[in-house]
Amino acid sequence: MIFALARRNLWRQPRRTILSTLAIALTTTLMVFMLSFQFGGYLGMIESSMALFDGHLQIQVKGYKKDPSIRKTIDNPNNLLSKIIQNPKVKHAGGRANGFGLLSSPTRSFGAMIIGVQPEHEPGLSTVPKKIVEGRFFSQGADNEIILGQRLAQNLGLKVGDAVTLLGTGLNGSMAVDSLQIIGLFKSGIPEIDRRFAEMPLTRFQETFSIPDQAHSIVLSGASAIALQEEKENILALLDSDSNLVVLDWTELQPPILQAILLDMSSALLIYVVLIIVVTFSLLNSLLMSVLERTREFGMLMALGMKPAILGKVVWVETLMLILFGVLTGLLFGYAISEYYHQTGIYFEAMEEMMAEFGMSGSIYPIIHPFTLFAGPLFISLSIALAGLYPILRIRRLEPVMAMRKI
Amino acid sequence: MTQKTLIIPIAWRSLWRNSRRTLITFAAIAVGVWSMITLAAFMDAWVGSVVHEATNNLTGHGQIHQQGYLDDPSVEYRFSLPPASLDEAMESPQIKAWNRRVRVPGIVRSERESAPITLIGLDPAREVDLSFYGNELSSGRQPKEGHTAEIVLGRRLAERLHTRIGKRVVILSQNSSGEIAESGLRVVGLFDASLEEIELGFVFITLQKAQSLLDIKDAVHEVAFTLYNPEEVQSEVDRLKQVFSDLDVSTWSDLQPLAQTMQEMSAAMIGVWTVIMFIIIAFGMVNTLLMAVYERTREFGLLQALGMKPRLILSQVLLEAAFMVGIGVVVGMVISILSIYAFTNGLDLGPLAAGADLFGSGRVLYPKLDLIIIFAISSFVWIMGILSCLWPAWRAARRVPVTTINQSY
Repeated sequence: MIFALARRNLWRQPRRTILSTLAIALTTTLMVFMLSFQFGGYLGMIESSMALFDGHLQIQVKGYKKDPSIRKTIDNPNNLLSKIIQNPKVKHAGGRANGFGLLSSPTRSFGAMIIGVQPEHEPGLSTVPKKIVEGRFFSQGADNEIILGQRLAQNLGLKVGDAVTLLGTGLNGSMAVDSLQIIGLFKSGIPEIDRRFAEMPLTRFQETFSIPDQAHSIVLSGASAIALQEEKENILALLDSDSNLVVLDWTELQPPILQAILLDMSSALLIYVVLIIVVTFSLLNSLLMSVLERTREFGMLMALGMKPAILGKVVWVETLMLILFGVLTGLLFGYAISEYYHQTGIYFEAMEEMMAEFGMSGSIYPIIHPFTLFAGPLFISLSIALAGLYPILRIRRLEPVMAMRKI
Repeated sequence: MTQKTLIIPIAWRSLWRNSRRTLITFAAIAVGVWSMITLAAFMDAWVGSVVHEATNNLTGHGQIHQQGYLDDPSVEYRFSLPPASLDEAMESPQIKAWNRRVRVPGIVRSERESAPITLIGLDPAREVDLSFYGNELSSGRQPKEGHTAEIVLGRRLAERLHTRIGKRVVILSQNSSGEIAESGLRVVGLFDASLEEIELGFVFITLQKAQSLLDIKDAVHEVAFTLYNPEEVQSEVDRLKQVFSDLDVSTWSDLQPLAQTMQEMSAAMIGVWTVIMFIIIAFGMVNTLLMAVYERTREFGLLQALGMKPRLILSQVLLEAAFMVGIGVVVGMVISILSIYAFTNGLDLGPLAAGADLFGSGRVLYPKLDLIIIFAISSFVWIMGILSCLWPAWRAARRVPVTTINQSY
C-alpha cells in the first residue's frame, strides 16, 4: 500500500516530479561521464608516458633512480632475465644501459643521452622501434649501429647511412670513444626527446662504456602499468634476496605523473562535492514543498488514525522512487555517452600540444569501470536520501488538529 | 503608478511567506555561485602561475633570435648588432628589463660524471625583473665580471655531478669554427629553480667568457625582454619586428604554446562549469517558484478579479524571482570573496608540487579577486535565473479569475 500511495503522490505533480528527476539525472550523467573520462585520461597518461622508455616495471640497483651514475650496474642481466620471465604476468623483459656522450658529425656536435638496448627484447618494451620514420630498428646481432632522434640527426646534419662519432665518459672516468653507423631515425613527437636521445645495441654499449656484461636496468612490460604494479612483490621474490636490487613501479619511475593525478583528483573531488551539494539543495526544496503543501491532508489522515511513522514511510518511499528514477536514467545516459566515447575517443585539437607533453596523442578514451559507473550515483543517492529525512521529521511533529486548519 | 510600485513590497513579502523554502533556495544559489566564482579565481591563479613559470624561466615576454635558431639552437645562429642600435631599440617606455644572452647546447663534466646542459652566457645584474636568475643565488655568488673562469650551476645538477662550490668542472661546446671548445671553470654559485628541468639543465657563465669560449666576438643568440604591461606584447613585438626586420622576434606565447593552450582551456572550463551549475540551480529554482505560484493560484485569481492586470502579476512573480536569485547571488559573492581572500597568501600545493610542475604551474597558487569575472558570473546567474522563472510567472498570470477562485485544495 505504501508503494501505491507513494507512486500516486509522485504523479499528483507530474511537472515537479519530472523536473526533479531531470535534475538528478543530469547530475548523475555528468558524474558518470566525468569520472570515466577522468580515469580514462589518467590511464592514458600513465601508459603513454611509460610507453616510450620506462616500460611497466624496472629493476635497478638501489639508488640508481635518484642518482643515475654509470657505476651503479646490474651484473649479468641475462641471467636475471631468464628468472623474471618465469612470472606469467611479465610479457617482455630486457636489459638497458644509459650513458651520456657527445655525438659529432664532421661539422657539428651535440650532447645526447645514449641508451643501450637489446634488439631482440626492445620492441616489446618501448614504442621507439615503432616510431622509426626513416631507416629501420636494430636487427638481432646488431653491432656498430645507432638510432638517433630525428631532430638530433637534423641538427647534426646527418642522414641514415652516415657515420657518427661518439665521445663520452665510461666507467671510472675512462674515455668512451666509438664510431657508429646511423641505421634509423625515430620521431616521438616530443621535441626534447627527438633532440636529445640516441639508442645503440647493449653489447656495443657495454664495450664502449667499459661495463662488460652489465646493465643499468631491466625493463619489464605486461598487460598494463597497473597490472604489473600488483606483481611487484612476486618479482622481487624472484631476485636474490641478498642483492641490492629494487623493483620500481610506475609511481616510482614517474613520480610527477602520480602527483599530477593526485592533484587533479583532489580538485575534481572538490567539484563533485559542490555538484552534489547544489543538486541536494535544489531537490530539498521540492521534497519539502511536497510535504508542506499536504499538511492538511496529513492532518486529516492522522486524525483518521494513520500513524505518523507510516506517513513518514510513504514520503520516504516517494523520495527513494524519485532518486531511483533520476539515478537510473542518469546512469543509463552516462554509461551510453562514456561507452560511445570509449569506442571513438575524444579528440582535443587544441590540447594536442599539451598532451604531447605527457606523451599522449590528442585523444582521451574514457574507461568504464564499476567505480566510475557507480561512485557518482551512489553518493548522489545517499546525499539526497539524507536530505529527504528532513521533511519526514517535520511530519512527525505534526499535530493533527493544527495541521487540518492549515491551507 | 501606485499599482506598479505596490508590487515591490508584495513580491518581497511573498518571498518571506515561506522563509524555510526561501532560505534553502538561497543556499543552493549561493553554493552554486560560490563554486563558479571560486573555481574561476583558482583557475585564473593556476593559469597565472603557468604563465609566470613560462615567462620567468628565461623566456621573458618576448625574445629576439637569429632566423632558424629556434629550430636548431646552435652556435651558428647568432647575431651581432652594433650596441648602440640595440640599446636604442630596447629603450622603449614599455620595456621593463632586457638582456643579451649567449645560449648554446653543451656538456658539463665533473671528475666523475657528465651531463648535457644548456650553456648560458649573460650579465646577471640585468636579469633582475627578467627571469628567476635575477634573484639571489641560493648559495655562493655570481661570477666576477669579465673573462673569469667561474660558473654557476643548478643545485640538483651539482648533486648529480657530485660537485660543489669551489670545485672545478669542464664545459664542452661547439665553437664558431665547428670544433669542440673546452674550458675548465670553478663553481662559485648554485641556484634553485622551480622547475626541475631548469635546475638540471642550465649553467651560467659571464657573457664575455661565453663569447670568447665560442669564439663569436660580440655576437649573442638571444635578446629577452619583459614589459610593464604583458598585454601589450603583440604591439611591442610588431615594433621590434620593424626595427630588426631580418631577425626573428617572438612573443612568449609563440615560445611557450603550452601556456597559451592552458589559458584557453581554463577559460573554456570556467564557462562549462558556470553553465552546468546554472542548469542544476535552475531546476531547483523553477521548481520552487512553480510551487510558490501554484499554491497561490486562488490569490492571483482574486487579485485579477479585483482588477489587477495579468501583466502586473507576471511582473510581481518575476520580481519575486529577482529578489530570490539576487539575494542568493549576493550571498554567494560574499562567501566567495571571503574564501578567495582567505588564500591571498597563496595555496601551497606542497607535496604535490612535482605534479603541478608537470602541468606547468608553480607550487603556490595565488587566487586574485577579479571584479570583472565576479560581476560577469553574478549577473549571468541573476539574469538567466530571472529568465528561467518566466515559465512559472507566465503560469501565474494566465489563469482565468473565476475558475481559480473557486478552486480549492
